[in-house]
Amino acid sequence: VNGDAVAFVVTAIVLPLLLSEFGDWCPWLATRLVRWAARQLGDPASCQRYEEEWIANLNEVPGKLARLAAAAGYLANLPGMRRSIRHRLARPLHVSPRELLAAPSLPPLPEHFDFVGRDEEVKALTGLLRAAADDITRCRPIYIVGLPGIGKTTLATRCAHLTRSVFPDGLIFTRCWSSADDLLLALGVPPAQIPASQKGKSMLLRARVAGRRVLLVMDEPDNNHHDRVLASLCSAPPCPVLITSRHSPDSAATAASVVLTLGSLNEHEARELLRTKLGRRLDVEPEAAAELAAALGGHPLALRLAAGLLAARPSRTITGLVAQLASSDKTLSGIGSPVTSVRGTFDYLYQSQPAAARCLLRRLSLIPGALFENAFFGKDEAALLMNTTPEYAAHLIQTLVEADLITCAAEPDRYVLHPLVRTYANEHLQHDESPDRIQDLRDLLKRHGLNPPST
Amino acid sequence: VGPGFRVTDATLDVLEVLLHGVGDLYGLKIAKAAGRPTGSVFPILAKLEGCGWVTSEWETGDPATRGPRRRFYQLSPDGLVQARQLLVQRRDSPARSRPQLAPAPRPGWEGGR
Repeated sequence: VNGDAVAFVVTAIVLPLLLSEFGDWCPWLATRLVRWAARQLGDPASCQRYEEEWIANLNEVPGKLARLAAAAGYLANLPGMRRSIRHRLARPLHVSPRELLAAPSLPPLPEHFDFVGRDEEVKALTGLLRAAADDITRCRPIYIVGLPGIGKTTLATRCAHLTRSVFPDGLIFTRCWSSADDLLLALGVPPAQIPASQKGKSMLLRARVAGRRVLLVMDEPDNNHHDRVLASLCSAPPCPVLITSRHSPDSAATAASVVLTLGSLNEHEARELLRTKLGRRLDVEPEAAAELAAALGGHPLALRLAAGLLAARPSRTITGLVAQLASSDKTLSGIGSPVTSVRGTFDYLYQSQPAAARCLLRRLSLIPGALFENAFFGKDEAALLMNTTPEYAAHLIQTLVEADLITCAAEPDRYVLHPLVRTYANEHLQHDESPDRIQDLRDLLKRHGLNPPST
Repeated sequence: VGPGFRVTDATLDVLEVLLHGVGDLYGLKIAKAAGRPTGSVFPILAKLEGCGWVTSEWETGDPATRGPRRRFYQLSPDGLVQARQLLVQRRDSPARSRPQLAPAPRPGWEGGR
């Protein structure tokens, strides 16, 4: 009697319970098995990629037991998978890091030996790059945005070199004149095998960098209007991408990217930068050095140019240069050099603006503020200068903000001109508008309680 | 120039699917169309990708709602030409042996509904 009862209990209750439990358990076990299998693939990039890909595929298998069987299938094919991946990594066409770095068409940018300051930015950026190297399957483009000459490229180069060890498969730099062909050549594609179509190039590029720990540093790719393939790398990067740009990416792209806005150097950093070229001359005229740094708005390129100017003329004093800059108010031409001039970069930005925005920028240079101080303004002041509605003025301001010619102040809806931009805008104002018109504008500002700086 | 890897029947099946398949092709779909177990097509796809015949990209979609992403495979321009040649060589006519894109139910654990 006892034996029958036990048999009954086992067949009628325990066995169904166990089976149902096992059924519920199957999908869980299947997922665990597949994850484990993916992690046995060897190189971290492949592990990550296939873990996600396989789980996505596994989740589509209907049924519980079938899912477990599918997982067993992944497991059974593990040796073949490992062979395929080894084969891929060993392909001769995939060049070694050393070859990548030695690629003739895209040499890495030289590091500045006199790199100073930017401690926080370097820390943030190297952190971002390390995180990107850890998860190369989901890379968001990292943008460094700022005024021309503010040091975007220098910072990008510096951080790329600092994090070189986490990108063992290579470091590739593109300049604004680089093309997709250059990039393919740098990746070791023989010239004869470069596809003719844009789509072909794009696909080959992606195939070449996919799953590899490569860092692509793109210097101002948005100046490169003729290469859509490179532009597409910014919006949907196949590998970690560091981009320097004068403009923030548009709002749709911003959500999918990381944007680091680079501002001026602080007082201490500016002094250190001057010191790299001027050395002990700085200690002779400490106050003049501080004034020079303020006059140039902590703008690294301008500081570098000014320091170079002084270094070339040992007899010239810093005080003398500051006085000259202040008296002539020709900050830009005073330090411009034909090769790398701040003016050239500003010209480019200025000329690419719509006429109304250019006009507003010119007139904004009349907004009061001490000579080397920041002058704040909002849409009302802008509307006054342009004789238009505040709404339209706000639109123009936004246009200029997007071009980085106007900087947002800490307060909401208040803006400020970088001193170098203001000087530049003022030169255009004097050139483009009649003295009478300028006087009218000054009077207008005065009537509204704003006293324009005298020139 | 040879393909640079061992070409098995399974490889040919996968290439045919990639050549004739419609829509976004991902692992499970390719496996079903080729009539092969899912696990077995991934080594083949990885091999083809490594040789530059195939490119792949992640599924895009609303990042908030998606869980693990699928990865879509597609023949590269090079791969397209080479796959056609290979299929003509190894199978008399690539058109005749086109795989069934909606395969008849096969006995087995996987792919049943």
